[in-house]
Amino acid sequence: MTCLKCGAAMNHQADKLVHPVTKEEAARMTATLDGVIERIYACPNCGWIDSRRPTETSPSR
Amino acid sequence: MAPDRPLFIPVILGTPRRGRMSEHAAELMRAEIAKRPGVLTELIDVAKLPIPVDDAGESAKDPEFSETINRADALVIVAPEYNHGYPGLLKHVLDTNLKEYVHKAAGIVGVSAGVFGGARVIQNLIPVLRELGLVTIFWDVNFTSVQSRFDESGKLLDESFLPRIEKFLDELCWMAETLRHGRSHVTVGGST
Repeated sequence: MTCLKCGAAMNHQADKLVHPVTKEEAARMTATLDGVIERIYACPNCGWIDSRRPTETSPSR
Repeated sequence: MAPDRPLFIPVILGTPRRGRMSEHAAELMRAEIAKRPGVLTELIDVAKLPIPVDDAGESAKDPEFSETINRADALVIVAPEYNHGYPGLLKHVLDTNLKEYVHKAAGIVGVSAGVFGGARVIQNLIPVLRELGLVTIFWDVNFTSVQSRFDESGKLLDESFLPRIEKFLDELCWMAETLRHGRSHVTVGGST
């Protein structure tokens, strides 16, 4: 993923299990994990944080 | 080695109640952080955040608050103890973000009128912060008998708190620097 703030390549620093708060999120739950995985990225240049859910093609903002 | 960018450690004042005595504690923490070279800070007052209370998650986000948390390397959360728990609005505000917290340091300042200094609110808040992805430090600040610790202008009347605040901030800054390195350079499930 590319940093939206400075354009640097971001580091995939975590996979966080997210507990759904909406019907749409609940519909995408992975039964074995009991939630939705969110991939968290950090920019080593400016520190900006972004994330993406594996089924998405663009950053979730 | 000092980080190439200043650390940014905002202080969250976690109660909106009128007459709140946590305000002086939060301002003291902000002032002590601001004295540190290479560290920037600001005070975030949950009472002033335009966050709706009838929604949650992404749709309830305040963009300015989220951007501030995104830039942060660590958080200081000043939490009064209400019936052994944390203020409901503090929990609601914290819940509006997630990715912004992951692998960032958090320290808790407990506040109470009694002798426990918010020890129970700290214990109750730790599992919440853990689930949000924050990394809590092993130092706390406990403002016991807060009503007698500050004068009306907010001046600290008991300087014995200052050494403990210094140790708390030493540890928080260490954790903030270490986690910044990890976020930037250590890839989950893979090589560094």
